[in-house]
Amino acid sequence: MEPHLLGLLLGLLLSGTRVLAGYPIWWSLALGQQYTSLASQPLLCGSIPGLVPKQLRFCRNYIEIMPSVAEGVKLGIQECQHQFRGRRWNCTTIDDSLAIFGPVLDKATRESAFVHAIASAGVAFAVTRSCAEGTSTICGCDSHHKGPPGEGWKWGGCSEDADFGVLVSREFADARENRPDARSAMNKHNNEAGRTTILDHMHLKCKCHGLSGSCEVKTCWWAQPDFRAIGDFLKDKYDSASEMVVEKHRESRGWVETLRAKYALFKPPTERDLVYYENSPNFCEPNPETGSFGTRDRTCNVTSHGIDGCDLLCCGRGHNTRTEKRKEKCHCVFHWCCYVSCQECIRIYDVHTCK
Amino acid sequence: MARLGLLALLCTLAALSASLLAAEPKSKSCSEVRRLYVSKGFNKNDAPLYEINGDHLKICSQDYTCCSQEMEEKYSLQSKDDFQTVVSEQCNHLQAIFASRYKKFDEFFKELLENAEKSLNDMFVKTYGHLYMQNSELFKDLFVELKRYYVAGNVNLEEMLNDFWARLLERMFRLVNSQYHFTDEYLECVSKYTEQLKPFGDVPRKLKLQVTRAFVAARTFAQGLAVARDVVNRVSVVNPTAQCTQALLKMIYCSHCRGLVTVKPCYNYCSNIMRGCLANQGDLDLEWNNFIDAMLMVAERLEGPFNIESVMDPIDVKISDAIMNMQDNSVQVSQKVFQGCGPPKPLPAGRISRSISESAFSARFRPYHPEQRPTTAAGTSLDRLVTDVKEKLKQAKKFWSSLPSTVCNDERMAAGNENEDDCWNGKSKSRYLFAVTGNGLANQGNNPEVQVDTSKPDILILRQIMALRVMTSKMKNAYNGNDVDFFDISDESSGEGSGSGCEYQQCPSEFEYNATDHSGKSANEKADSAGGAPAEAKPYLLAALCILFLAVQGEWR
Repeated sequence: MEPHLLGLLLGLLLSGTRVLAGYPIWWSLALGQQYTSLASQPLLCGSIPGLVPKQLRFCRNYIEIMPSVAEGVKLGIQECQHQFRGRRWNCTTIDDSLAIFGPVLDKATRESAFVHAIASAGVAFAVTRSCAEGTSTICGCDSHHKGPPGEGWKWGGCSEDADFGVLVSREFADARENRPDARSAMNKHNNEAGRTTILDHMHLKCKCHGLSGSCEVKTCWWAQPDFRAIGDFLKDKYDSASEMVVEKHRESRGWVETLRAKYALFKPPTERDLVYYENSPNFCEPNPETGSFGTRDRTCNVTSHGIDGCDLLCCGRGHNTRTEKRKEKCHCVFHWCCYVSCQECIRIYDVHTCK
Repeated sequence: MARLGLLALLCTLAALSASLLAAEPKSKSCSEVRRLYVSKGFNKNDAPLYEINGDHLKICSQDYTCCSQEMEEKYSLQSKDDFQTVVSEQCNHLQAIFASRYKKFDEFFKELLENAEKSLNDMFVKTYGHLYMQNSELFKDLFVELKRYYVAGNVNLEEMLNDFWARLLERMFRLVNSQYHFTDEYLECVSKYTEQLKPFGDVPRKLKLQVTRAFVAARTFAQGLAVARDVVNRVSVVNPTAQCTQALLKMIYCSHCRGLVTVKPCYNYCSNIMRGCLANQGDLDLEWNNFIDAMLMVAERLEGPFNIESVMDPIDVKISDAIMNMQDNSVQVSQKVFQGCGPPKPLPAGRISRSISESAFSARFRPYHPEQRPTTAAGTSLDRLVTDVKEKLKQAKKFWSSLPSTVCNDERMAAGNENEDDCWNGKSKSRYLFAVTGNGLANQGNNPEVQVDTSKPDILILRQIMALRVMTSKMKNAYNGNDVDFFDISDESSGEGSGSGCEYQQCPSEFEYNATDHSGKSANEKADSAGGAPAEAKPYLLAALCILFLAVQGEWR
């Protein structure tokens, strides 16, 4: 019995090693509520799991920014869960695990590409927004306005310094992607795609100044888009991600893995496209090894023929239907002056879930 | 008759002895030494033509010498003057850098405020017209306070800005509800209610933070440049101690007394003397470097998020943002205020018509033509100013610890590093064997060239160290965006006053010290005088000894 037990332990150790070696554990920043108050407890840098030495130094040197980094990861995960809400894999997180997505992202899949991009974009976005808030002593508005004022308007407001946010995201997220293997190359590419999306979507917002709706003077400033727009854009990139193959080259520092497009007939990926080189698992059935939770008991849309429809989401297993009673306010009336009164109505809904 | 013959012989011997003594001084010429001495504007009669006995010298070697007593005294004063000149040149160069940069920054900041005020006035005349002109003193007061803060401190920026927004709210609330009459009590209630409603949006909060940080950084940085200028100015006046002066004379001119007019002092020999003579200045270096680092940190802020130019240039737009927010929110704000503070009293009908008339009068439309950003008299933006100053600051680091080396690098003071074996080491043309001592007063206890009293630090230097320390502390506060309590300026001034008094109090002590030194000199002079007399009597002594010797010989015979 002893040999078997030793074999089991060894297997577990190797498995753990494999998981921890490549997984961005620092994404767990999004989970801990205490991380949003790092400024008052600087020693907590050491207690954030999964930080590589470079990230640890960054954390200690720029403790003031770390709450924004944590907020950014959280933003990325929330957006991921929104974008994948109707799909078989819906960006589920595991609350009691440092590998917050489980082993599903261990493989170099399309899903992994999206999560890296959206997390990286989230960090850049949150840091940039925090700078524009004006509370930070490290960064502020971007006073190097890009371009001269146009005809009839001038610079005003707070032009968001997205370059700074991207810099922080690059410094932090790419800190652990310095290995010469294909996965590191893929992660760096996808991280950068997420950040480039932020920069590409900066736009001028303007405001009129004058009495009673006149526009005597107009002021404009650079602003980030709503993060939903970033999520929508990256989701499109996920749908059109480029499949790659791994190539090995001998360089002065040893073997180096690089990525090449698998299908020469297709357009090669640009720096804005997502890339992957491993197939996604079947997300229909639960599989602890691949991290799939399956689609059983998922709510589906009976009237849709898309991926969120019951036929596709339930993988052909069919669906159950039940009714739900919900209380809603109805027949609201405005009373002068000034309050609104409503009645409470019960409404019946059909809810469809996968078998 | 035999006795007469003996006497004649003795006289002959005496004459021969005198002749021998007279012949010896002619062995070496001092013409080159004499020429250089005269070329410095001194009296040629002081300088002997040939080497003389050096018993009269106090500092330089008392071997055969080309220096008279007068020459040694004049060379002593000259060496002190040479030293002060070289040190002063180095310090004046640095002082001029800080003085000119302070002037540039000061001009820039003041003109930035003037331009910002003008820009706001121009914009608001266009956008808000008559309503602005009726209330323009509100904005003038804002700029008066900002300028007063920059020039004198003593302004709580946060309170001042809070007051500005409160007054602006009061004016706007009257304007958007011009059909009502508001008492002071009512407006006070409005003020309390609107603290939660934020009628101006987040502009007041952001602007308060930005203005406070930018102004604290700008003012502290300018003050830092002024402090640096003043510290260098005060420290550049060097008064060597008696021991230092002796060492300087020995280093610079005693070689001339040996006829070695072209041999330069050894570099390490010079270093030791300079570290002894500039011991107190060396102690300034630690605090000076901390100060420079703090200045560089604040400079980084001035280039980045605490850039006062990027705060003040668009301040008209920011305030206008707030006004537009209030205008957009005025209906909701007014409704909530009326709920909370009660219905206000309406104005009589006549006033209503007048308000309508005023509104009609104020209605206007003008096309806006964008203007280029105004350039200050300094002809440069803040970024270029800061970049320039940062370079100068980096060069100024370690100035005081490297001052001895800088002085010794001057060709007037010492041989270069390459002439280590063929240089003046204080005694001869050879190699200098002592190790170089460390910088600062504490290290001078073992200085082989200058006797330094390490228990008596220079009061002036200590005061400069304290001034630097205070400014470094303010700099660090400014770096962190914290407002600095500038009321300590008055303490600093009174401190300086006390310092002056302290100087006067120290005068008796210094006088006592000088008295001690003077009595020491007097004792030395007396000793020299006593020593001089025997020297002068030497020929007669020799004759007497000769006579005695002969007499003894005679008796033996």
